[in-house]
Amino acid sequence: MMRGTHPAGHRRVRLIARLAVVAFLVAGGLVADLVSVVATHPAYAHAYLLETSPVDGEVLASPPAEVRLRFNEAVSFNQRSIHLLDVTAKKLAIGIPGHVDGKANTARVSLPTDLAEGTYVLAWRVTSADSHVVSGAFSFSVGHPSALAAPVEQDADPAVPVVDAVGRGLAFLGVALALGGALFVAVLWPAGRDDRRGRRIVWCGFAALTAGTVVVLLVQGPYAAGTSLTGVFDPELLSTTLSTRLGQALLVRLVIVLALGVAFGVAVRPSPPPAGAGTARVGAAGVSRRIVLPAAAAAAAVALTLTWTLADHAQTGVQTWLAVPATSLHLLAMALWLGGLIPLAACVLIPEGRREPTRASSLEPALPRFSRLAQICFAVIAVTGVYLSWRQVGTWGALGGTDFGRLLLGKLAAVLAVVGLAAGARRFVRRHSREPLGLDAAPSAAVRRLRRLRRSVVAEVVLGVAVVSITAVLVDTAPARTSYAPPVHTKVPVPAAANGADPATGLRGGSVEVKIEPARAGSNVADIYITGRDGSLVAVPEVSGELESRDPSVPTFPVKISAAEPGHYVANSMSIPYPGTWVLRLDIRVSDFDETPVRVPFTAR
Amino acid sequence: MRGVDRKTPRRRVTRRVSGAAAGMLALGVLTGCSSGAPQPLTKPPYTLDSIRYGLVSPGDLGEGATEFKDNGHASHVVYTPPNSIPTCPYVQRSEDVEVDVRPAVEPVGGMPTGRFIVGPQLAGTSSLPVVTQGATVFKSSSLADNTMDTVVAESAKCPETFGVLGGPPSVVGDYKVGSRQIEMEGWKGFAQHLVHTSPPEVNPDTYDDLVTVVVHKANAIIYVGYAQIKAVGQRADSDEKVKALMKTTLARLG
Repeated sequence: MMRGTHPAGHRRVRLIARLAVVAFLVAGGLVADLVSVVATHPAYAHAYLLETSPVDGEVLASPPAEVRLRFNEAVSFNQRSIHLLDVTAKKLAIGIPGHVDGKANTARVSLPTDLAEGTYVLAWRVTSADSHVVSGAFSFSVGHPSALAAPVEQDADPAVPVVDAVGRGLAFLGVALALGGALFVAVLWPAGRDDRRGRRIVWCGFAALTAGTVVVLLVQGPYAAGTSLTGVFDPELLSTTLSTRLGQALLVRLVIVLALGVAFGVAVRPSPPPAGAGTARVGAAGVSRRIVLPAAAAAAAVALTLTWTLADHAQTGVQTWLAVPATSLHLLAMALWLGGLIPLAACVLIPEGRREPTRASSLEPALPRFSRLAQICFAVIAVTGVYLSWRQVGTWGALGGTDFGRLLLGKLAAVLAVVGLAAGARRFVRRHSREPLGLDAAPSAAVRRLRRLRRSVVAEVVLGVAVVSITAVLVDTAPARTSYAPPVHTKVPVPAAANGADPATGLRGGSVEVKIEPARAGSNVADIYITGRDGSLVAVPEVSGELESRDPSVPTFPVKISAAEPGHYVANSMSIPYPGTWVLRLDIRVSDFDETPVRVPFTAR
Repeated sequence: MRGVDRKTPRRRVTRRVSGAAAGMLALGVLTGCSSGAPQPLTKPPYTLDSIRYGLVSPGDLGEGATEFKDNGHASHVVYTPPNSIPTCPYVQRSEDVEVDVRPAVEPVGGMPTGRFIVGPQLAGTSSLPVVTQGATVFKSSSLADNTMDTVVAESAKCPETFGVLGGPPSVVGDYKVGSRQIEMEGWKGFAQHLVHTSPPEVNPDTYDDLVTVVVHKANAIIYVGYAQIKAVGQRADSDEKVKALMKTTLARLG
C-alpha cells in the first residue's frame, strides 16, 4: 500500500515545487517591475519622440535654421533618415543629420534658409536600441499654414522586412543545429564523431547561421533607411549598420561561429592511436580535448546567444538585468533541444527503423541521454518562456489585441503540441530502458513502437522548425507591452462648480464620458459626451481643453475642441507628445459666467 | 496480460495529450486563417459594372428600402453635379465661409457610375437612413490616386463650423464638421461627419446626423453619404452605422 502511494505523492510534491518556482519567478518579476516603474520613468521597448524644435504644428515667422528631435533613448540614423517635404510631398535638400554634441538621443539637421512660406513636413526614421526601426513625421509652417496635398509615406520596400525575417529564421535554425547538433554528435552519441551524416548536419547548421547572420547584417541598412533591397551592398548603409550595437553584435557572432566551427572540427577529428613514444604529448592533447575544448565551446555558446539578447527586445524595456540572461537561457535551451533532435531523427531513429527487427537496438545510449537533456531544456524553456511572455505582453488584453500577442499564441500552440509529442517519446524511452528493442518477446511490436517514435520525433522536428519561424517574425514585431493601446473609454461625474455653486440644472448628477483613440503618442481623436442624469446629451455653450502631464516640468498642451451634435464635443487632432500618464483637463462653460473643470486621467502607450 | 492492462491507459493518456495538443494547434491555425467576411465578388482593377457590387443596395439597408438613380432632381436643395465626389456638402449655401472651398470635386479622366439613392419608400415614415452614393473608376491607379489627393486636400479646407441663413427651412441653421481618416477592407479615405442643427425657433427637437465617407482603392473611388434625423439629446451614430454597412459592401469588392 505504501509502495503504491508513495511515488504518486512524490510526483505531486515535485509538481508543486516546480509550480512554486515558476510562481516565485513571476511574482519576483512583477514586484521588481512595479518597483522599477515607481522609481523611474516607465521604459518602453522602442524609442519614442519626446520633443521637437520647432514643435508639431508651429507657425514660424521665418524659416528655422535647424530642426532638433529628442528621443527617450539613444537612437542611430544615417543621412537618409530625415527628410523635409513640401506640401506636394517633394523632398527638399537639407543638411546631413547628426547627433547634438554629447547627446545620443537627440538628432539635428540644418534646413535651407530660403524656405518659401507654407507648411512643411519633417519625416524621420531612426533605429532604436533594440534594433527596431521607428518612424514618424511632424509639420511646421513658415509665415502661414497651407493644406497638405499628399500624405507622407514612410513604409520601406515590403520585401526588406520579409528578407530580414528569413535571415533571422535561418540564423535561429543554424544556431540550433550548430550548438544542439554539435553537442549531440560530439558528446551524447558516441558513434556521432564517425558519422558523416551527423557531421554534415552540424556543418549545415554553421553554414545556415553564417548565411542568416550575413543576410541580417546586409538588410539592416536598407531596413533602417527605408530603402529597397538594392541598397544591401551600399557601403554607406553597411558602415552605418556596423556602427550600431546590432551591427557589432552580428560581427562578433560571425567571429564566434568561426571559433565554434574550429572547435567542432577538432572535437570530431579522429583521435590518434595511443603509442609509446608520444604518450605524454597525446595525454596533454587528450586533456585539452576533454577539458579545455568543451569549456571553451561552452563559453563560446553562451557568448553566441548573447549576440542576440544584447541587441534585441531583451536589453530594452523593464528588468533588462533578468531579461538578458532569461532570453539567453531560452535561446540556448531551444538550440540544444531542436538542434539535437534533428540529428537524432536523421542519424539514429530513421536508420534504426530500416534495420532487421530482430537485430539488437543501437538506440543506447544516445536516446536516453538526449531524452534527459530534452527534459531539462523543456523545463528551462517553460520557466523562461512564461517570464518573457509576461515581460513582453504585460496584460491579457494585449495577447489577443496585438500582432505580437497573436503570434505568441500561435507559438504557444505549437510548443504545446511539441510537449505532447515529447511526452509520448519520453514514455517510449522509459519503457525502452526496461524492455530493450530486439530483446522484446514480440519483434513486430517493437518495430511498431519504433515507427511510432520515429513519426513522433519527425513531427516534433517539423513543429520545432515552425516555432523557430514564428520566433523569427516575433523578434521583428513590436512587443505587445509597447504596441498594445486599448482605446481610453472613461466616465467621470460632473463636479460641483469651483465657487461652490451647483452645476447647471441639466448637468446636475450628470457625467462626462471621454473616448480617446488610439490613446498612444501622436495624433489622437478625443470624443467628449456631456450627459445629464437621464443619460441624454446636454449641450453647453463651450468646452475647452488642455493636456497636462504628471511631471510639473512639462508644460500643458492646448487641445482644440469643436462641437459635433448637441452635447458631443470632439478634439480631432489631440497630440500626445509621449507615452505615459496624462490628464485631459476640460473646462465646461455651462453659462455666460460659470465654468466647471473636469479632469480625466488616462494612460497613453 | 497484466502488462497489457498496465500499458493501455497510458497509451490512451498519451493519445489524449497528443490529440489535445494537435487540436489546440489546429484551433490556433484555424482562428488565424478563418474570418467571417463574405467572399468577394470581384477584384481590382474595377470596372463600371464591378464597382456596383461595392455600393449599398436596398437589401443592405433593410426591409422597406428602395433605390433610384439621382439625375439631379433629388439634390436640387444643395446641388452638386451627379458625377462629382463630395468634399464639403452644404458649404455652397453658407454666407459666412471665408475660405475658398468647393463642395464637390468633379473627377477628370474617370468614368462615374452616377449617383444612386437608397432609402425609405416614403420619407418621414420610416426609421431607415437615406444613403446617397456613387463611384468613379479610372483607367489607372495613379489617376485615381491623384484624384483622391485632390478630394482629400479640398475636404481638408472644409470649415469646422459654418451657418446657412437663407434658403429652404430644411437647410437653414448651423453646421459642425469633423473629419477622421478611415481604412476598411483595404480601402483608405476619410469619414466627414456633419451635424446640422436648425435655429431653435424653426426646429428645437431634432438635428441632421450626416456622414460622408470617401474611400479609395486601386483604380476606384467610392463615396457614400449616410443621413439620419436624430432627436436632440440622442447621440449621433451615423458614423458607426455607415462603417458597419460599408464593411459589408466593400468586402464584396475584394
